Amino acid sequence: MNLAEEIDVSEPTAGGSANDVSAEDIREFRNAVRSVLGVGTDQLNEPDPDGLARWHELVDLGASTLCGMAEGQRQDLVNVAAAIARDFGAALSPVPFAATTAVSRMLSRVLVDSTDLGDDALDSVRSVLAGIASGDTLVAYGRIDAAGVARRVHGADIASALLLEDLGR
Amino acid sequence: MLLDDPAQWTVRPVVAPFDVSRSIGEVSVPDLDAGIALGSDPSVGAVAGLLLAADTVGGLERALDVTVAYAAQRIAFGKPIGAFQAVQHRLADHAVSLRAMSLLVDAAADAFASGRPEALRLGLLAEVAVSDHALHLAHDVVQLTGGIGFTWEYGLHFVERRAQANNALGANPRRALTSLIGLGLGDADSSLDGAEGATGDSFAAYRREVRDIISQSAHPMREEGVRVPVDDAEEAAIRTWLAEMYDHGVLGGGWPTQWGGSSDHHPMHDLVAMEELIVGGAYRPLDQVMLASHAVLTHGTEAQKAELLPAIRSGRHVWCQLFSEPDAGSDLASLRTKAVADGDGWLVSGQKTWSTDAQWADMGVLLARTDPEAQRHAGITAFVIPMDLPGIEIRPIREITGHAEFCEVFLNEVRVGPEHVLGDLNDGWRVVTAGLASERAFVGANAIQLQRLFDDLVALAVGLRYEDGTAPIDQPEVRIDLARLLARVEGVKAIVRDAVQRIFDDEEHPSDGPVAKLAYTELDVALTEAALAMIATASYGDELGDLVARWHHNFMWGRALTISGGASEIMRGLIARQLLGLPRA
Repeated sequence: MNLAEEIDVSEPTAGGSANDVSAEDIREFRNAVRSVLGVGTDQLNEPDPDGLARWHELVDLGASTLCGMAEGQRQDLVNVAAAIARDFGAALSPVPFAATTAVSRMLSRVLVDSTDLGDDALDSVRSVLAGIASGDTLVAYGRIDAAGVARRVHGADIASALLLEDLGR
Repeated sequence: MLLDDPAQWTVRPVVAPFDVSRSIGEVSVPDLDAGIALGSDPSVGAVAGLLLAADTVGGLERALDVTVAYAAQRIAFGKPIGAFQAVQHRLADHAVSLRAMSLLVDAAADAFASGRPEALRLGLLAEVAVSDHALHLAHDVVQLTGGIGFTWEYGLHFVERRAQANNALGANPRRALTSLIGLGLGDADSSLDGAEGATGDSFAAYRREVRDIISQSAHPMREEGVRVPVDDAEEAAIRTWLAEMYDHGVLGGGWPTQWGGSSDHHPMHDLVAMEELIVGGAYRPLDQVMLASHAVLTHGTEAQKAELLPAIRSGRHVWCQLFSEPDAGSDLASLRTKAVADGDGWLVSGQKTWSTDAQWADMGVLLARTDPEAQRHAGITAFVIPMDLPGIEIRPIREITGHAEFCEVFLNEVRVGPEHVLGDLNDGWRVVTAGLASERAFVGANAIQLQRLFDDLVALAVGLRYEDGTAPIDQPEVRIDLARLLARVEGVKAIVRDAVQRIFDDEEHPSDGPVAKLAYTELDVALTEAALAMIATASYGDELGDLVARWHHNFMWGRALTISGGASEIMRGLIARQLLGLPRA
C-alpha cells in the first residue's frame, strides 16, 4: 500500500494539525514496511547489506514523504514515522531514516512558511525535498561542535544532503 | 545549515566504531559559509532524536521477543528456563520498562503530528526514558540467553550496539536531560491543579463535580495509608464522609440503581473519583470495602444485599478482609483456617493476619477451608461475618510506619450460619478473586500520586541546604537524577493511560492490572529512596520539617504498596505468564 494514497492528507494549519490516519492504516503500512525490510518473527535480523536498495521499495510505499511533501501537500505524520522507525531498528537498516525524515519535515515547513529565504535557497530546498520524495536523496543530520566538526553523523558517506546544527558557536 | 552537495563535506570513520549496522562518520565542512542558512528549528533535532529512540525501541522489542521465545523452549534442570522465577521476573521488568518507553515515544510522536505545544517536552522525556534503559535491557537479554546469546551469530549484540549508537546520535542522554531540565522539572503540563488524570479530559465535568464535593466536605487523610481513626470523633467524621461519598455517587455509582447506583454512571467515573480523592488529600474508600461490595453485589443473596449494601452506603458498616494468614499471604490458596460443619452452620477456627482496619471494622469477608480434602483453590468458602461474633479476637500490629493499621485476627470456634455464606459453598476462591483483580487494576489510579511525589521531591531539592549554602537543585547531578525520575514518572503515567484506553475500547488484557501495579509501586519506592538519599546529604530547618517527615513516612509506607494487593514478585509472575506467555514457575 502507498500511505499517501490511502490516507486523507490534509494541509496543516499554521498551528499544525494531525493528518487523519487510522490505527488500522498504520498497522497495514507497518506490515508492508516490515515485509520489505525482512523483519522476521522468530529470528533477529543481521545487518542488512541490501538495506539501501530496499529504500527505493519503501519510497514506493510512501516512506520518504511521511513528514515531507506528497502530491504538493505537506504531511506531518511523525506518528507513522515513529511506528516504522521501530522496524528500521528491528531490521538493523543502514538507511538514515530518522535524519532524512526529520530534515524533510523541517524543509517542508521552511518551504511552506518561510518568507525571507532567497529564490536560490528555496530552489535548493525544493530540489532536496524532491530528491527525498523520489528516493534519490538521503539526508544526514549532525551537530557541529566548537571545533567546527560534527563528531558522529549517520550516513554522511551515502547522503546527498546534510543538515548541520551549529550548536558550538 | 543545509548543504546540498556532497563535495561540500568530508567524512572519516569514527574512532572506535561500535555499531556494525550503519556507517557513522565524523564530518568536517571546509567552507561553512557555503551552506544555506535556514535559521534555528529545535524540532528538527527533537524529531530526529525521537525517531532514533523509536529505532531503539524496535530493536529492543525484537530482542525481548526472541529472548522470551528462547526462554520458553530452552530446557534446563528438566523445565524451560522461562519457568524459573529468576528469569521470569527480569523479563517481566524489561517488558514493563519497554512498554513505558514505547508509550512515551508514541505520545511524543502523536504530539508532534498534531502540532501540540508539549511535543518538544514529550519528545525529550521519551529520549531520556529510552536512552536511560535501553542498554541495560539489551545487555541483560544477552545474559538471559546464556552462551547462545554471547555468540556473534545469534545477533542480540547488534541491538546493543545500535542502541548505544542511537544514544550518541540523537537520543543522547546528557543532551536530552539538559534540554529537559531547561524546560523545567516540576511544572509543565502535569501540575496537579490542572491534572486530567488517566482519563484525559473525557470526564472533565464529572471530575469538577467530584472536586467540588471534596473541597466542600472531605475528611482529610492524615498521612498516606493511615486510615484508622484516632478517636470516636474522627471515626464519626469518617463514617459521615463515607456516606456522603455514596450519596453523591463518588462511591458506588456503578452499583445497580436498585441499590443506589446512578443510571448515568460510567465505569471510568470510579477511576476519576479515586484520582480526585488522592489529589485532594481526602480520606479514601477502603479497597476492602470496594472488594466486599463487589463480592456481595455479584455473589450475595437478595437478603444479604438488602442487609449489607445499605449499611455500606450509610457508612454504618466498615469492612475488612480476612484472607491472609501467617503462612498464606500472596499465596492465598494455601490458607488453613477451617470451617468445620456443625449443625446447619460451621465452627471457624484459625488465624488471619494483615487485616487492615479489622480493629474498627463492623464486617469482614472471611475465607475458610470447608473441604479439607480438596486441593488449593478448591474447598474454600467465602463468608461475610460481623466482627463482633463470639470467638473473634483482634490484635492490632504496629507497622514500620509506627502506625497500627492492620491486625491479627484469631478465630476460635466462631459460629457462622448458612446466612453468612457468600456465593456457593467451596466456591470462595472465585467469589474473591474477581474482586482482587479489580483491586489491582484500580491501583492504576494511584499513578496520579506519583506526580505528587515528584513535585514533593523537587520541593525537597529546592528547600534542603548543603554546607556551602547551596541547594541540591543547584547541582547538575541532582537535576539529572530528577529528570531521569521524571521520565520514569511520565512512563508509568503513560502505562496507566494506555490501560484505561483499553478499558474504553473493551480490549482490556489480564496483565494490564499487574503491569500498572508493578510499575507504579516500584517507582513509588524509587522516588522515596531518592528523597531519603537527598535528605541524608543535606540539612533542613523547621520550615521543611513537615515535608521531610512526610518523606520518612512515604519511604516506609511505600513498602506496603509493593507487598499488599499481590506482592511485586507475584505481579512479575503474572506478567511473565499472562503477557509474555511463559510457563508457570
